[in-house]
Amino acid sequence: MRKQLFLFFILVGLVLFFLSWTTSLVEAEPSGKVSIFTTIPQKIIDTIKDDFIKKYPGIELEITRKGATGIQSYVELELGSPKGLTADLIWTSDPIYLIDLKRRNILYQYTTPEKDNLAFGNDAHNYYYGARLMTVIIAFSSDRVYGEDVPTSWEDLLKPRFSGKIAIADPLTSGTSFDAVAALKDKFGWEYFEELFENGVTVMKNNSKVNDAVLNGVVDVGITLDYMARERHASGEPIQLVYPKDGLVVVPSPIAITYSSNNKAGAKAFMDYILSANGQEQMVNLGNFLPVRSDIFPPENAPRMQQLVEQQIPIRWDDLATDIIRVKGRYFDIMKQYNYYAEPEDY
Amino acid sequence: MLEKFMPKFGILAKVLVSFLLLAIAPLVVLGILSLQGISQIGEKAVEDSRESLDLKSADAIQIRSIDLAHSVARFLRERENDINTFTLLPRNSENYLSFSQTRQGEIWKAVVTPGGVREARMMKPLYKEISFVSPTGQEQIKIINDRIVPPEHLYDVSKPINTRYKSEAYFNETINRGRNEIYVSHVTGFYVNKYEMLGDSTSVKDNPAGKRFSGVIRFAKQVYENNELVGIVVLALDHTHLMEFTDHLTPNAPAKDPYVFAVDDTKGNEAYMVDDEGWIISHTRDWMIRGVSPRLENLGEPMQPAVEASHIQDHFLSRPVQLDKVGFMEFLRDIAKIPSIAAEGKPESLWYHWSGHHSFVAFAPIPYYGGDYRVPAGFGWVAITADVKAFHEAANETAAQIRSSQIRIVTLAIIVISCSMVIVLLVAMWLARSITRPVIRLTDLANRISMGDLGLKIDVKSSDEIGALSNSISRLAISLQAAMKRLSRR
Repeated sequence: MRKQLFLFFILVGLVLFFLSWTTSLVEAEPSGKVSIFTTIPQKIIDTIKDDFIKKYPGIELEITRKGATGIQSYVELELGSPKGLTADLIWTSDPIYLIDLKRRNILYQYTTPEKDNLAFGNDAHNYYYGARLMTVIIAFSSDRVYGEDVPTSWEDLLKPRFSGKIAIADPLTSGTSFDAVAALKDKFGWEYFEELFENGVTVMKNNSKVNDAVLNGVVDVGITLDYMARERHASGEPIQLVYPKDGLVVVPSPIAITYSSNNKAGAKAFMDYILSANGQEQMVNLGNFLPVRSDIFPPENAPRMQQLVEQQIPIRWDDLATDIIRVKGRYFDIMKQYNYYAEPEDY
Repeated sequence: MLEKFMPKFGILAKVLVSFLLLAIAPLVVLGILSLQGISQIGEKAVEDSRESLDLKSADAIQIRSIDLAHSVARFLRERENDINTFTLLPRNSENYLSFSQTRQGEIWKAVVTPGGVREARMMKPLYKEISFVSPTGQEQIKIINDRIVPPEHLYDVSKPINTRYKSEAYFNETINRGRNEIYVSHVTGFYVNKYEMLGDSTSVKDNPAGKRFSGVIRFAKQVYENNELVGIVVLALDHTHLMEFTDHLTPNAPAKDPYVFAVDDTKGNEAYMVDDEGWIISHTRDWMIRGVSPRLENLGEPMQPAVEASHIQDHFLSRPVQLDKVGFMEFLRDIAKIPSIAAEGKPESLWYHWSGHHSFVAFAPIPYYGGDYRVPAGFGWVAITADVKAFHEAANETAAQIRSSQIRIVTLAIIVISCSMVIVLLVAMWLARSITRPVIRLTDLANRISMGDLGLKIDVKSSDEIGALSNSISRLAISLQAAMKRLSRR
């Protein structure tokens, strides 16, 4: 009798072991549908998708591409709906929204094997990893700004030369522009923005519009993103960029797996791929982005990892995610003075 | 039979088990069944009473919404009377000023004082602006906020950019109309975003001193003298007075004190007003109210309605709400249908779900048909919403009563069953022992007889089968004794 019981338990143990072994086999070969919500430009993400599918033919990659606020409202909409969040991965432009999601227990904790090679923008608790770097820089029209006029620092924008000739993307709608405001006010204080608005700033809807404004002659200089200006410059348009010498605003664009994902194996495969040397090379070649790995060369004339780390204005992302309304509010109040019409109330 | 199932047990155990099976089991089953019945009936009763009370509260809210809509319509018709009177006034600053000073309405608002924010009821002119405009569009006389506007601040309002909200077309609308027609504008004012109203806080009641929407509804009419057009008169009704109708109303306030200063905007028990185009024009959350842009780059342009979640959630990207366009939010899909129902001019109500809440909304058209507002849609509609949970309070009380009587019945049943179990056990034990005790004695007797001890006396008390058995045994002993005697004599 006792012997029989013993045999039974051994059998059960064997079955369990076998089961876990086969599931581990299945995990090693990820397949199925992986849905990703991202802000990466459509052209770039499509090429990345092709390359990824070659490596994992079993995976069907579904891409939802929207702007930063678009992704945010789409995620919120799905979270509020009965079917819930359908994304397996969320890849945004800056960490603030992912920090918010992390605090609401919507993200999945995962330690990627690439972790030791990543130098920038990672979550301390492995909820998200920076998957590309963007730098907020000063772009200028090479037709109208030359010689000694060429700005080299943030302070230069306050010169009377650029009065009424500066454009910035609206920090209330553009995440990276908000990050720049947050970093610059830490370094120079809010007075910097008061003086900047005093000097005459045109607020555009997004960074792409800022580049347009510089090219169209609406303004001479613009606060915008390096990869956009670099791309325009490369295509022969009269625009150049400077990495300001008094501080770099480096914005990692993080990727995270969602807790509700039904295909974590597939999601992990994509995340590992995009953080790998191969994936980062694609980011540099396709998108003119700065890589998050120090073993990959950045685009031409762009700063190396070492320089980024040394010259960056550190941004405390977690604090910023808490304070977002307060910081935006302070900016809004300053901007309002220069950009609002006051209703006549009294005579 | 019993021997087969319980071969090892004694009579005592057999009797006990049999009793339990036969007596207690049916009792328990019956008890459970009847309890289930009771609880089902209870739940049904709760459901019924809830339903009837729901219907009653729903009716009450519906009636209140109709009442509210009629008060708003009456208020607007009075303004129409005002403009008719006003056209007859001699046109000079003094008359206009005294007209303005005699048209006041009470408002209830937060006042910032050195000691903090406090609520106050105060009188405010009904009209933000009163003016007389020449047929070319030049303002001739103007009163703002009970003060005469100096001539250097009188403008050519045929150009919308010279109007208060940089976009108003009231002059051209009025001048191109028939002689006795009144022009009534839509609500116009500068849009107030979520941040301006809330600051860093998350609800309106936490930031009573935040910025509020401020706008006008213009009433304008041509003025004739000796059958000749001499200009138009304009009364700009301060929209605050219209907002007062809904801002302090909450359906779950006690009947004795039905209006509250700051409605808790997080609970969904509130009232709002919508115009004939589906725009919200009065709400506890002022950033949902239609308006024109105050930003210099697109000054006076109408704000576009919310079409994605961030336009409702984000503090800085917030936009006004046009209700027929809110279908992009899954939980508001039912709400998006209201404008088309309300356009038919009939009061209605509906139940809907949103993020886990069960809500009720009753709406009623505002029967004001002046200006361009036509039958049947009229000026728009008012709606009163209630979170059904709050609304169930009356029904919940009845439910609690039913539930407590249920609990009483259950405890009683448990007591009765356990008492009868104890009694059954005692009876079973007594019965079993009344069998086993004589049996044990007879066993002992039989043993002794087998040992040869035949001179025993058996006192037989019982007259049942056991008694018969002991009689037979004693007869056996006696006959054995006699047989032994016969054997020993040989």
